[in-house]
Amino acid sequence: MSPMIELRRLHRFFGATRAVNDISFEVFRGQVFGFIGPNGAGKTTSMRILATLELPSYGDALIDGLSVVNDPDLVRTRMGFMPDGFGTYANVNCVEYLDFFARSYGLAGSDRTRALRHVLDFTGLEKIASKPIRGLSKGMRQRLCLGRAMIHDPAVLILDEPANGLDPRARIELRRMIRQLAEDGKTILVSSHILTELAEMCDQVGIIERGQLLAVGRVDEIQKDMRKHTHVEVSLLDNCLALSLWLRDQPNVSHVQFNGTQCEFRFDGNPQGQAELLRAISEAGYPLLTFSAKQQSLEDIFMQITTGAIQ
Amino acid sequence: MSELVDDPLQKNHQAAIEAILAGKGRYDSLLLKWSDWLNPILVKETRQALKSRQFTWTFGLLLIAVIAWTVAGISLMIPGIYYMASGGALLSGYFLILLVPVGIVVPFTAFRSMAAELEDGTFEILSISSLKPRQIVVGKLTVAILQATIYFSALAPCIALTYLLRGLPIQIIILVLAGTAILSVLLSTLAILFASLGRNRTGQVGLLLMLMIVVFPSNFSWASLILNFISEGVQPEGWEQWLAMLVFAGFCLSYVWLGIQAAAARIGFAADNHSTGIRWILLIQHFSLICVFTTAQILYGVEEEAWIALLSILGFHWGIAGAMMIGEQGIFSPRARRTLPQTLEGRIFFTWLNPGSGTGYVFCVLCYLSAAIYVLIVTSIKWKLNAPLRFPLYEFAFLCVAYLTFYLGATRLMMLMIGKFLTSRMVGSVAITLLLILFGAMLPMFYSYWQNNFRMAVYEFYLFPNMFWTLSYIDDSLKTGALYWLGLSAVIVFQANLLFLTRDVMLVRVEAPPRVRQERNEKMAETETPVDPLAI
Repeated sequence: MSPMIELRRLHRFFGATRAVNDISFEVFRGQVFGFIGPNGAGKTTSMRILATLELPSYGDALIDGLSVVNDPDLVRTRMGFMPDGFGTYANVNCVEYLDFFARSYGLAGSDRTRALRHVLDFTGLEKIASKPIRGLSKGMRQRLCLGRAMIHDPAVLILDEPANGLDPRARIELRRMIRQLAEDGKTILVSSHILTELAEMCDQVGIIERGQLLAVGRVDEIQKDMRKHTHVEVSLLDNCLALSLWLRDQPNVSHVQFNGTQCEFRFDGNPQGQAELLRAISEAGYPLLTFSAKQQSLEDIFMQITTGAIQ
Repeated sequence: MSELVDDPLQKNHQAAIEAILAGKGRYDSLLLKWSDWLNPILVKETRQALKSRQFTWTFGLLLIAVIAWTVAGISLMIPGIYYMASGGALLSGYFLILLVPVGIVVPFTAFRSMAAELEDGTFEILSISSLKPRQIVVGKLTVAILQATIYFSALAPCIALTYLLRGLPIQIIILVLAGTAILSVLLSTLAILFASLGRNRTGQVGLLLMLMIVVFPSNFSWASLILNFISEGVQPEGWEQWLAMLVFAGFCLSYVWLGIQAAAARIGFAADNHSTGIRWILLIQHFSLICVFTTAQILYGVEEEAWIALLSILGFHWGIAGAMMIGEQGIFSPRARRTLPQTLEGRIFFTWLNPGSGTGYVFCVLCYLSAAIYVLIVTSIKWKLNAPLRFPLYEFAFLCVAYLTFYLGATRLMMLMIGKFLTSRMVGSVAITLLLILFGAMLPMFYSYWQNNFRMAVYEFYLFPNMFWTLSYIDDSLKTGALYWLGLSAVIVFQANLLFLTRDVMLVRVEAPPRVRQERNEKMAETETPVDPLAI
């Protein structure tokens, strides 16, 4: 199966700034790929290159096997882009706006009618069809923008911070819509700062910082890769002072801290090593109450991988 | 569900959807079907204009002004209006009233429409739709033409009234209407082109000022000319004059075409080949001008001044175009390389139409040189036929070609050195050309004054970079030294440019990848055209 989105050694320089620096990944049909990174990491630039709005300095990006550099016209028929900022027209209502873009994508007659009805129904915009765009709430504008991006039924959707500024309900609804689109066979590349949300809706994530892709894959795979630094919490019936001193002498254990009956430390080993450590604590005679290896969230992984540096 | 339908607000929304999808009535549905054949931008902006206050106010004020002028004009001229030549006076008023919306409001509206797309970020999402950049520009221009047509139609009954009065021939009415329409289209194209150049608000303000500098004097000049024609009773007579005006109108429209191409190139995808289309238009204009002057020579045996005028017009034409072409980066994506000429003959003749500063420079010099050689051949034939030249035309042609070669070549050499540091190469190359011409004129002149203790400057050979002085001294005291030094400099600059031409001319055609060919075949097989509404 050939990938629907493919980045091949993508580079984009703005003078001395390397906004995108050698990024490669693939996204397959029906997948939702989450693009995570701090501000200025190069997410938007990568997405704009995929949307044929910018040229890469080196490398290429392909949508459905077509190069964004060499065949932007063909790419545009297969891709819908929802930018972070959303420009509007004066004196235009929602349905007129969608109708204009349907026409711009060459939809005529019954095809256009069908596309408009589908988009209005999918995004729930029927209820505000005659409202001027400039009077819409942020959530409704995002829906309209999503509707505009999917009006020509593209195989690939590129959504740049779609949940930015939305209230919790609007976020949940947007997430539901994105999952629905993926189930319908669309390939979706989505960037967001709300990491928990991405973890819930994405099949794969890519963590980017300073233009470089630091990690890419399924969330659980990345979590697995990160497990060499497991954070362990232990609680005893007695004071943990003796245990903490004992732990400092154990292999793969570091950053030991204790507070009363609670003790925390970092364990640089695999799950088998964790089991051995648990047995050793028990055999050493400490009155063990709980032993938990803290599962890393996407947020933890993000914080662990990225340095917060900007360029 | 019943609650939804009963809700008056929901009824509005349902009605809005139906109005867009199916139309409100029979005629509306028919119009909706027809609109599939129209540019989407025209449809959208017509809808916007119908709701906009600006259009309503302009149209309303136009009607009020027309009615007021009709009433005032007739009241003042009664009872002489029955027997005196009063049509001209009335037309003058209508013309001035019409010129405001058509010559000023429409171009500025076109500018704002394009600039707003770029400023508000709507252009980006529009540019990744299936609309081609040229369709976007033509759409904007069509909207301007439609607005102008509506303003014209509002005045149609009044214009008919002036014709019914005495003293106004139909020729002058045609001239006024056609000329004003062409002026409006030209200015609107220029406005769209200017708007496409700016990428931020500051730039747009500067471009708006530049547009004002063009729009107001153009309208003023046109108004002065037409009012003079009306008051003096001047009118085109004979088919030759009409033909000459048609030719002039044709040239104006060719510049509209050029403007559309240039604006489309400006907003198009960076890796596209924007240049070849523009160069073809420049070439067509070049040969058309030569044809017009040749026809005039054959029919009327024009004097040398006409050929000097031709060389001067073409000098401006290629000078401006060349300065812009030198700013081209010559990005040649594999996509653009799929259209390169393949055969040896094709590569010899058509390589110069490819994007790139080097090809652009050689293209300009060769075209202008061809015109100069043609003029010399024609005038030599005339001289052989016992009509001696009264003006040193050979020297003039030589100087013009040498100046074009020298200054454009020097600009290109400078661009090769500093081009990568410029944010806008095209603006930069035009600015460098102007600066070089300015310094070329000022520095030797300053030296000449200094040599003469700042009393007076005397033309010496070292003043050859000053094109204004050299060309003005051509018919009496031009030193042959200047000709020699300018010729030598031009040859050296041209040779130096040829050294840096390799990259531009060595490119060869590449085949489209199989995935693209497959896509194209699939697209061709399933291409659907809009249903013909007239067929129902």
